[in-house]
This record gives sequence, C-alpha cells and structure tokens, in this order.
Amino acid sequence: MPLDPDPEYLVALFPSITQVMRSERLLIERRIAHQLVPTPRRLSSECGVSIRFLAADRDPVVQALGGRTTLLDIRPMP
Amino acid sequence: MTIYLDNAATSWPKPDAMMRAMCHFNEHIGGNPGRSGHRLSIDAARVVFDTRERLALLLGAASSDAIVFTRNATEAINVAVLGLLKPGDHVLASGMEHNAVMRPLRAAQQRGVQLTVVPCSPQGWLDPADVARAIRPGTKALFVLHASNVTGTLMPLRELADLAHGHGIQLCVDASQTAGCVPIDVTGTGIDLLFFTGHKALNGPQGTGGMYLRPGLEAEVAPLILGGTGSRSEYEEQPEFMPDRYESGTPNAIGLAGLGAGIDHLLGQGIAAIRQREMRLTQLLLEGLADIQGVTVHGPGDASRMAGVVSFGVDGTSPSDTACALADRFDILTRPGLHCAPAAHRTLGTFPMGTVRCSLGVFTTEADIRTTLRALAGLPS
Repeated sequence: MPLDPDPEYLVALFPSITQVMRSERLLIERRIAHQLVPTPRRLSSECGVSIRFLAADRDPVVQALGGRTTLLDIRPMP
Repeated sequence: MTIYLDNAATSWPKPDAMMRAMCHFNEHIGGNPGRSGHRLSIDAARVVFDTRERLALLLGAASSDAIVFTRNATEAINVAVLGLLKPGDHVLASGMEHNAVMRPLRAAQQRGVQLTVVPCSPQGWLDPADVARAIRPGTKALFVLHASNVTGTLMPLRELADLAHGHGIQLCVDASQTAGCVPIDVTGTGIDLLFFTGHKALNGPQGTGGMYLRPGLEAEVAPLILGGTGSRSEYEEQPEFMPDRYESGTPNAIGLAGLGAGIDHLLGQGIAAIRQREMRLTQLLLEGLADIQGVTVHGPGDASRMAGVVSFGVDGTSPSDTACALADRFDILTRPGLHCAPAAHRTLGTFPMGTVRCSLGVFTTEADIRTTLRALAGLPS
C-alpha cells in the first residue's frame, strides 16, 4: 500500500526476510499503513528488506510487532 | 485406468491447485526470496513464508521460525545426525528405520558415535520398555520413524517422548510417512526434531522437505550447508538465528509454492478427516487380503495402529513378480522389494526378498482397493 510522500517516515529493521514477512502480516491484520522497501544501506546490512511507516504510527507498530517478531531497531528514514 | 498405490514413495496424482501454484510462481513471481528488495523478490518471500506458516500450523509448532526447508527428509535427517552427534555420543534407533536414518547413523558410527539399534516386534512396533533398557549415560538422541514405510506401524511417540525427556535424550522423529495424513503435534507430544518430506502426504512436488527443531535446540545442531542467506550480508560468519542458520543458498521457492498449495488442500479437508478415511480404506485392504489364499500381511494388521501402508507376500511368488503382474495386467502400481529399509525387513523376517507394498493417498478410492483385491485374488500363485 503506497504512502503519501510526506517527510516523516520511520523504518523498521529486521534480521531476516522471515521476520519481515511475519511483521508485514501483523501490520496488515491491524490495518497499519506501511510499505516494504529495500533497506537503506547506511542503516543496516542485516536484511535487505525493511518496513517503512508513518512516524505517527510508531506506537501502534511497536505494539503490533512486540513479542511476535524480532525487531532490531526503528530508525528515521533517511 | 491407472490405480496408483505407491504413495509412500511419492504421492500421485497431485491436487490441481499445487500445479497451478507452481505455474503462477513461474509466470508471475519468479524472484529470489529475501535476496533483493524489489517486488518479485518480496512476492517470492511471501510464498515461502506462507508455506512455512502452514507447516507450523499443520505440525503444531508454536512459531514458523522452527520450520526449516531442505531438499527432502533425507537431507534434514543428515543435518540432525551430522550436526547433533559427536564422537563418544550414544544414539538409539529403532529396528524399523529407513536407510535415510540408518546410513547416516552407520557413517556416524565410523566416526566414533556409539549406535544401539533397538529391536522391534515382528509387527514392527517399538516397545518403550526396550528403549528404556538400551539407555545409558551419554545417550544423546533417539531416532524413530512415526510410521514404518514398510508396514505402516505407528510408533508410540508420546511414551517415547516422556521416556526420552526423562533422560535428557532428544527425540528425533522421521515423519516421512505421516506428515499430512496422520495428526502430528510436535509441541504437545514433546518432539525435539521432526523430519518431513513435501512430496508424499503433504501433496507437494518432489524436491521439497524439511524439519522442525524445538526452539533453542538450534544451539546444539550445527548446520550442514553454509552460505548466503540474504541476511547479515556484511558478515562472513553463518547467522545463528532460525531459520537462516540452516537455509543457505537459493531455496526451491517454486517447489515451496506447490507445497503450500498441497498443504492447503489437506487443511481444507482436515487431517483428522483424511486420517479417518485412510484408516477405513486401509482396513478394507487388510480384510480383503486376509481373505485371499496364500497372501501373508506383515505388520499390525489393524488400521488404527498403522498409516495407510500395507506390506504383504504371496506364497510361491516373488514380490517383484506380483508387483509386475499387477502393473502389466491391471495397471495397478505398487512397490516390491526392500523399500530402502533393510533393517525393517530383518525385523519382519522378509529380508532379502522384501514384500509387495500398497500405500494409499488422499486420492485413493474404495473402488481402487476393491479392484486391487479382485486382481490379486485372480493372480496365479
């Protein structure tokens, strides 16, 4: 689901594609807007795919993923 | 019309949905899962993840992270034997094991692993009391099949799990003949490692399989194959997390697309319903064989204690001649011989000639069984 090109995005980083897939499913179930994007190289080399979402959704995202997947970090999208 | 009774070798036919899923993958997806950030790579990763999730559901795993994909059950068994057992360790195996287990264990024995093969009953059943007597200090693992690929005999997994865990032993289960047609609950039963093949009762294509590892056990099982995983690309050391630890190299994503659709077909019917139907047809086959003069059935002779695998011999005729006559005269496809399980045939007393094996699948019908029984009754002995 494409997002508006608003400036404030965060990116969730994961260790592997399996965790990205699991997280995507959790976010879809909770109807939280997001987009799978190639991981910006300056942020991580762990997994080549990350999940971008609106900074305003940080708390719902953390709540959705907490304890259900391995989330490495949440960083501002460069 | 072909009657296919060789589902213990590989299931056939396959659900249409399985073939459609593989075509769809090739036509519309085709990317390398987890290797790139583009749409087709992500779509491929979704396919692999969905199949992993279905398997976790089917096997009773708490998380699909515990499911590892390999080329087949044999490769998964090799990971366990080579990755878990060290020289000096003691390992137990039942006297009914397939060569997928026995050959890696015999090779391990050459490296200094101590192996005890626990004899089974003439019906192919492993008595937990016999296992208990074979346990000694240093016993690390028990390898046992869930159901024999020769006689269909179901093993007492729950009792074996209780026994194994009471002695700190890892229970390693070969579910090649049961995953997809007999209910399995790895968590509730207490199975530490379980090996499955995708191309038998799970209705997937050949070249798919894998294993379940109890969470945490990955720290004790070294991977067999090392290499690229699409994760931790900056580092030259193998990731330690699941499932990447055991999944180096490009996976068989198109095969896993088919496997996922094959499992959907099963989940749609329900494993319990499939089991009930297969038991009824197996019992029909057993009772019919008992009525044919000169036929000897090997195994429990009771469908409630078996998977849908029935082995028999015909007096005065070799298994290969019987199977050949069934194929040539009636287009009924069975498997004669030793079924890659010489240990099992020694247990049954059918070594080296073997048996004729009829193995049922989700598409086997009552008419198939009745036609096969009529054909067998009419064969000269």
